Amino acid sequence: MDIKGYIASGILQDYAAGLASDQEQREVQCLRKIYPEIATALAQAEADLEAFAGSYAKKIPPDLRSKVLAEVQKHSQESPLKLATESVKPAVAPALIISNQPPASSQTLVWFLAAASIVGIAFGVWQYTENAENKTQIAELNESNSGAADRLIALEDENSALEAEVNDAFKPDIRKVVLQSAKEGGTEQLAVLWNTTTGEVKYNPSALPALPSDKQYQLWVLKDGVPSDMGVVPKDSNAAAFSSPVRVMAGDAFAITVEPLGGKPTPSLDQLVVIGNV
Amino acid sequence: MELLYDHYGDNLYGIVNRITKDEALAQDVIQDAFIKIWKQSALYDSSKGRLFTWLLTIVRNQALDALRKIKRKNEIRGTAADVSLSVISAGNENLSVDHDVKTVLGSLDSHHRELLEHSYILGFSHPEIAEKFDIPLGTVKTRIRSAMQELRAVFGNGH
Repeated sequence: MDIKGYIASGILQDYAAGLASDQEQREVQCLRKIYPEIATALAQAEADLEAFAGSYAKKIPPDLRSKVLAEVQKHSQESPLKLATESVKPAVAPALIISNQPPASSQTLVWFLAAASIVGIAFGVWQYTENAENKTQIAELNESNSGAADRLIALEDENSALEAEVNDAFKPDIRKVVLQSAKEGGTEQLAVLWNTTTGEVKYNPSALPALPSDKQYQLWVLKDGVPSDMGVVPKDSNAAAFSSPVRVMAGDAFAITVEPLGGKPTPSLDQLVVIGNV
Repeated sequence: MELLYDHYGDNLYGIVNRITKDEALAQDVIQDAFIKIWKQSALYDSSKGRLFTWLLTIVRNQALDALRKIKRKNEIRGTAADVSLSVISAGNENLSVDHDVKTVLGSLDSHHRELLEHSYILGFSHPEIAEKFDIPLGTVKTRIRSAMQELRAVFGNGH
């Protein structure tokens, strides 16, 4: 996924401003759990907009505070339990009316018992819902946490590998050989890093243009005009550096040709793509 | 609840004032909004966003609903000329917070400030902004994005 592009699309600002559609909201909520960069950018957008909103601040009249808090207090008598009860009542009450027609005093008792059981049911429903929601949230958090941990491990591995590559590249016994296009005016280029002590040869396969599915690049080393096979170049590799399976201790030049899939024992010289002297 | 009121009250009240342009109405809106906030407090999910964003959405909707009820919607969304931070600042002698924030924000490009105000404070959708300012929808999105970048730069330098 193109995370930078997603962040730059402005959807996070819409989300932060409360203007995203339901679908966009779900998308952002999901992606922020997967990609820390998105979570950070969203938090930043929210903080910026909150600070922007701060520029509109106006002192609330002191007498309004007590009035508002008193009103809230009045409504706070309606606990979540009561609110839950209210939401259950309409569905249950008609059934009770139809099935019970006792004398007035018994009716009061029935109503009392019915109300008590409604409260019980509502409380149960409320607790169950709360509990289920909490469990879902915990499960989501655990999942998100575990995903983030996996991603962190993968990134650390990737980082170590890249560090090793960089360290290798700066070793004193590394020789950089630049292979240029064999065609006049051609733009193909490839740098080969050759460790003259170990014989290891590394290069970035993705630097070469894509080939048809039945063709593959092959690396050669030339010594006194004689080419030796250094192995085929992997197709569709995303690695920053590919290490040739063949090591070489002596050579005058490196070259790459286009060959049938799997390579050939001798190079097709008319298919020479790039070449560079050591 | 008192904590919420004391911490966010002034910011929310300022925004309601900006939307309603009527102190008496703003006070009613704030009262109703805080009751709603209390009633809906169980619905707030911190994993979905910042608390202030949630509060602002409730308060803004309450203010817009109040305006609709008294049929003054067209009045507040009428002219672009009265939408500017300088007007708001000039009218607020009792500013409670962060003059520093105001100073910093004063350096925002006026068009950017206007767009941010319409989308974030007044709750205009992008198509509504496009219509009001008579600019293509794509341009609205681009400009709001630039406005956010400028806002980030302003806070990055100023705070």
